[in-house]
Amino acid sequence: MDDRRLKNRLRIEADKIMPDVLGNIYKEVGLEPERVKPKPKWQWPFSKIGTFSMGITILVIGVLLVPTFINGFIVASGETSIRLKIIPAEEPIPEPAVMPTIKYQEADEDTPVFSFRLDRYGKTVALDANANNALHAENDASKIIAGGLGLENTLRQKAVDLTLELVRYARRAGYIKSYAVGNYVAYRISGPDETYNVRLRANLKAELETYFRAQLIYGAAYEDERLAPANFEGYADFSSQIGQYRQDYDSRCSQHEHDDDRRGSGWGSDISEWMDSHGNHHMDSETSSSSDTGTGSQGTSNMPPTSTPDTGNQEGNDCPC
Amino acid sequence: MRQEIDRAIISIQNGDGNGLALLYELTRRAVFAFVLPIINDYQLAEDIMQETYVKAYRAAGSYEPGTSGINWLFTIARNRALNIIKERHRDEQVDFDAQHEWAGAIVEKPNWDTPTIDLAKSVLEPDEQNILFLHAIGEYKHREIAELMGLPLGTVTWKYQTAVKKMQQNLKEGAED
Repeated sequence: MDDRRLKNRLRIEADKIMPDVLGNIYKEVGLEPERVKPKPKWQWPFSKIGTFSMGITILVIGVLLVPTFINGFIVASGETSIRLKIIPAEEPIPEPAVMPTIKYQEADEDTPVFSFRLDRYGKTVALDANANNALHAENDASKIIAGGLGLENTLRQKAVDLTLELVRYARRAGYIKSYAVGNYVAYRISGPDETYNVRLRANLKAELETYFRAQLIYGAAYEDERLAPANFEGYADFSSQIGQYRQDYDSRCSQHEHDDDRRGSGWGSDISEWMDSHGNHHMDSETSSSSDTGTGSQGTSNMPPTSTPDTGNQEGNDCPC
Repeated sequence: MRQEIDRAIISIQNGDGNGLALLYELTRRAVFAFVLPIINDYQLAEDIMQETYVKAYRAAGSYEPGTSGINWLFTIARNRALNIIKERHRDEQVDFDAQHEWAGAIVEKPNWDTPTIDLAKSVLEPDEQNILFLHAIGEYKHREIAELMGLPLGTVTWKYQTAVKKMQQNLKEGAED
C-alpha cells in the first residue's frame, strides 16, 4: 500500500467516526438554533470587505487596461503623439485673452513662458483659456523652453513619475535649469545666445526622443515649426520595443497562470505529499494579475483642451531634482 | 487557513454566532485528528469535540488575534480530553501530564470498525500518530505540523516516513497472515 492509499484509507475511516456536533455545541452555548449555519459544502472565501476590494481592484485594472489596449492600437496605427512643445522664448507670444495667475516662488527671476500641466487623466492641459498652449509671459525677458508632455501614451510609467524623471534627465544632461511643480514641466535656458538655443533645441529634441523611446513612448508631434516632426516608425527598434513591451505585459499577466502552490518545495524526499496534494487539487493554480502600467487615458494628437491654470500649485516650487 | 481561523475567532469575540460555525468547519478535522490518538469510542469523541468548541466559544475573549488559532484550539482540546478521560477513569492511575505519552492512555477495545486507524494507534509512537493523523486526516502539511508541534520540518518528515513504513510493514504482514 503506498502512501497515498494509506492516507485515503485513514481519511475514509476517520470520516466514518468523526462526530458532527455543531448542533449540540450551539445548544450548549445557548445560541438560537436558527443561528446555526448549515454545514457549507463550499463557502465564498472572502469577506464582504474582501469582495468589495476585489471588485474595486478589477474595476481599476480594467480602467487601466482598456486605455493600454487603446494605446496599443494607436501606437500600431502610427498616429499617436506626445505633445512636446519646444518653443524658444524669443518667439512672440500672443497676448492671452485670459491671463492666468500663476504664483512663482521667485518672481524676480525668469519664469516659464510655456508650460503645460497634466490633468487628472494624465493629459496635457494648456495654461491658457484659449487652449493655445503657449502663453503667460509674466516676465518678457525670460528665456524659456517649456516641454509639455501628453502622457497619455506612456505605457510603463505613471504620468507624475515620468514627468519627474524627465526633469531629472534634462538636468543631468546639463541643458537647462528645470523644475517641476505638481505635474508642470518647465525647461529654462540659462543664456540668451540664439546659437546656443538652436543647438539646445536640437539636442533637447534628440534627447527627449531617446528618452521617449526608452520609455516606450512612440510618436511625437513637435509644435516648434523649426523642428521636423518625429517619425518613430522609422526607428529600427520600434517593432522590437513594442514586441518587448507586449511580451513583458503578457508575462506579467500570465506569470502565475501555471504556477503551482510550491507545496513540497524544500521538503527533501517528501515528494509523495506534493504529488498527493496535486493529485487531489488538480494542480491548484494561483492566478494573479498585476499591472504596473501607469497609463493615463489615451489621447490624440491635437491640442489639449482649454483649462484655467491651477493657481495654487506653483508655490514652493524649487526644483525637486 | 491561519487567517481564516483568526477571523472566525474574532467573529466569535464580536458576538457573531456564525463565527463558531465557521471555526468548527475550518478546524474540526484537525481537532479530531489531534485527539484521535486518545479516543477509542464514538461517545468519547463526541464529548471531546463538543466540549472543545464550547470551551473555545466561551474563552474566545482570551484569544489574542495573530497568534496561532489552531494551537490555541489544540490546547483546549487536549485539556478537555484529559479532563473527560480523567472523569471516566478516576480509579486508573494514568500519567496524563506527560505531554507525549497521552496517546494510547485508553486501552479499551474500540467500538468502531477502523482497522487502519486502530493499527496506527497500536504500532506507532505517539508523535508518529499525531503527525500521521494530522497530515492524513487533518489535511495539514508537514510544514504546518512542524509549526504546530514545535519540531523541525526534517524531524516531522522523517517521523512521518517512519510511520508510513511501519504501517506498510504491518499491513503487508497482516495481508500475508
